[in-house]
Amino acid sequence: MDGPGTITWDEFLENAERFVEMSCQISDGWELRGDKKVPGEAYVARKQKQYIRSSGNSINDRPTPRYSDDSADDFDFVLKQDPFEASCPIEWPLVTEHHVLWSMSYGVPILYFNGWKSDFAGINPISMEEAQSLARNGELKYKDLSQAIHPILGTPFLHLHPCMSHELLQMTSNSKNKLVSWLSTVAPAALNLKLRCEYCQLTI
Amino acid sequence: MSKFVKFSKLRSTTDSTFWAKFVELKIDKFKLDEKSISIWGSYGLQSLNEDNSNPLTLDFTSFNEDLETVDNSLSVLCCGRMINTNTFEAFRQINPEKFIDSMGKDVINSIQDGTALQSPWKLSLFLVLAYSDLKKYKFYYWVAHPTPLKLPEMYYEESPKSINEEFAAKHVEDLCQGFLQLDSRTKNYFTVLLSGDKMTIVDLAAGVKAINTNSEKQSQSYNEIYFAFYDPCATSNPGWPLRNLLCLLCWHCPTYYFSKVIKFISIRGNKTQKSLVFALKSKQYENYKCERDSLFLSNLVGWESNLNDKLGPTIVNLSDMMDPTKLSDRAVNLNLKLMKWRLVPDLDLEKIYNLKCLLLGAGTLGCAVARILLGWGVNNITFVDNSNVSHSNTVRQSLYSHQDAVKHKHKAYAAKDAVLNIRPSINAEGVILHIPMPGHVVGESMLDSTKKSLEKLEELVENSDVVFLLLDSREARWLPTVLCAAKNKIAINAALGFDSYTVQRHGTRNFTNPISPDLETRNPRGMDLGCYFCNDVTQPGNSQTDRTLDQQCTVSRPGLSQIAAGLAVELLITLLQHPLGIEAEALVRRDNISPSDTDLVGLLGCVPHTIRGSLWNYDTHLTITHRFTSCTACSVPIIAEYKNRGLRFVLDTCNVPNYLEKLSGLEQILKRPDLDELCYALDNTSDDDEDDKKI
Repeated sequence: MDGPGTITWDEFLENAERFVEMSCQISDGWELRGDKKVPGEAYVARKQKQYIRSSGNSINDRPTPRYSDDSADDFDFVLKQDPFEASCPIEWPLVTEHHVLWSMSYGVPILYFNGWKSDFAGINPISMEEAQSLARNGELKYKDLSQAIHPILGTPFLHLHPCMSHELLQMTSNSKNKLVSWLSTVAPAALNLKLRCEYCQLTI
Repeated sequence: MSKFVKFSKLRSTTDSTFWAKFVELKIDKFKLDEKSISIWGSYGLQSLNEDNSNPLTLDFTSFNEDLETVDNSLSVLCCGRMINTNTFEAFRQINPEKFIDSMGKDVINSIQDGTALQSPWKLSLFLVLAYSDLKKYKFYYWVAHPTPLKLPEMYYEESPKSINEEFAAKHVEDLCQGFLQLDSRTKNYFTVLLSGDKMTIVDLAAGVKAINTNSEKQSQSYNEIYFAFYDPCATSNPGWPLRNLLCLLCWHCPTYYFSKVIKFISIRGNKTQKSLVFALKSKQYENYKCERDSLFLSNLVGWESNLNDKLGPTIVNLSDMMDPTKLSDRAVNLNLKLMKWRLVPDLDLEKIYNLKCLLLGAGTLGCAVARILLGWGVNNITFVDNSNVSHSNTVRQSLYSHQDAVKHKHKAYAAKDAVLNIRPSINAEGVILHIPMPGHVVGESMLDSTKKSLEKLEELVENSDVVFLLLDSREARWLPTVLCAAKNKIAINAALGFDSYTVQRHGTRNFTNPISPDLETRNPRGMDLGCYFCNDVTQPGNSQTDRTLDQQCTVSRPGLSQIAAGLAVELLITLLQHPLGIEAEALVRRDNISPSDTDLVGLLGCVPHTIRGSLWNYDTHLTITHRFTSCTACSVPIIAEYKNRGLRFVLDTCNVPNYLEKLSGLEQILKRPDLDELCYALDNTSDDDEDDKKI
């Protein structure tokens, strides 16, 4: 698909390479994966593990006893009191994975992502409904944010439907890196993905 | 500040690759060896989330023998020891306090013999105690960061400062560059010297030496000395690693330690940008030498709390990601969820998933029904059949292969294996069972097997939510119909002719109600609907006698079973998603359906009672049969007799001619003097029905 609000595979790839170069400089973990020679077969990806403190309206509000297991109760030791130990806030692990692909049928970038409330990608996934409610104002519906098979990996991912991306891309038509401009607009809807401000330099 | 300094505990996290690699090594290399193994852990310097603590990460590189194998420039490396017990019992019996005391001894030794001065990573030793259940992909592990329990009390000389307050901008930059250039292992602990305008970064040995020479010569070769440590914690307290650094300083420069204000840089953030400077002073001890000497006599502490904030191991079940059969599951469910998300948001997929389906007959209908149930994500399927796969079956009965026919496998087993092949996580069973049939005489020799068959069938029906009648003869459906009525189970019946089919749901049976239903109701409810036998005026008998082979086999057009099976499953699903369930009103006429009529229209639309169709003219009829008070399968006297006499009743139906007709009252009706009039009346009502449908 071409026309206003679309980007070509070549442009996507060029933008993506700039994006990953910048990521290397600031070492925030984005990388280009897949086959760059075949349109649609390469994508930008990042997997991240972080600890989140529970605070209002966050993913870890409801601390699901992770990988809950009955046998955990067997192990609750009372050890020597340590006077030098500071009390710590409880923090929860969160693994997130974001992939930016190029959709041939829409001619736009498309964001696939997954989140897991555990130490491991694959364990205790964030459901689509949770992901929807995390987006600002929680206004996303099934048609905006749903689940789909990752076209390259063949496994289920959450994704933002690309049908509105044309409008977004048109709004940022002066950007020198449309991928970055687009990604920074949709990122908050994808498990509060944050882009470092250094990427802004790529767009001007 | 009056409170003595406390320290924030550390956190570690294991990556799934850590366990994958461990499993591999356990099987190929360690085998049953329970000795401790050396591993690496690292604090990544890539984290974006600098407001929260940075966990010690264990992944597949943790087992590398050679550090240079991977690029560690963006991490702080720590070394650790891991013990994995072979049995769960051994794991449980380990006393954590004794374990940390003996395994953590290395930290104390490295301080006492001074090796930690040159090799600062020895101070950040961590321990892993684990038990791995390799079959279930379940891992128990507990990480400790050993440090002496006893420590001279330290007090804040001033509030913690950020490095930007403490240092000139140039030095902040120097510190950052200096830190990043350090070897990933020496990033743990180092010394920062300020002399004049120059900031230099040296190792701990040089720092300690500088202090000790200074105190001897009373002349300072530097303006200010800072001891720095990488601090993965993000609270206002210094992190755990400072404890061992304090012990080291206390041991190697006690005079300085107990008399001076010592400045520490807690290196935080991926580029030291969040670092804090702590100025600490020890409590005044009367005999500080004694304090120093007793430092290492105490026990060691440092076990991590797990995420439930308890002291104990973390237990992870990684079967979801490591077990290939579980991986396919998510993809299957996705397809169904799309239906829910895009089209029918209220669809109750859970209900369908949990449904327990009993398929009586694993022939052409049984195979097709199972396929469609798989499509809907049904997770519990039991096949009942008593025949074997033959070469003529494979082309029509979609679950069987040529190999099944060669092996002459039992259909019930072959079908079970086939669905497991398609979806490995499904709960499938196969049961070989010959269903007792009216008119098929049971002699003495078969008494025992008949008894067992009945018991098994009763148990299977009892444990099911839905029973599909997909058998190849009329009389074989009789006993399951009785059982479904008696046990109040949903029964879905499908039968084939050459080019015509019938698919129906049986009505529900409240067996205390012997009164005939109101035949005038336009859309009768489930309780007034009939069963397969409610239309009959004779009891089911042996239809296999006096028949040639071609008459015995169901000879039907190959596409017919797929059509009928499709309708049977969809009828069931529509019914399950209807607010009234099996009691849903039966759809008869397709005109004037009002979507607001919730007794009739459910989430997926309407639920007919009987669907009859023919491939001869591609016609489909919806018909209803009312509950018949003298039905030979589901009427009150039959059910009551079954409940009273069980096996004896079943044997009588098999052996005694016309037993069911007598019992149900059918014989009575047939003997009525006004039978002709009755039939006439019935004929006319059914004619009306026909007329209705033509309109």
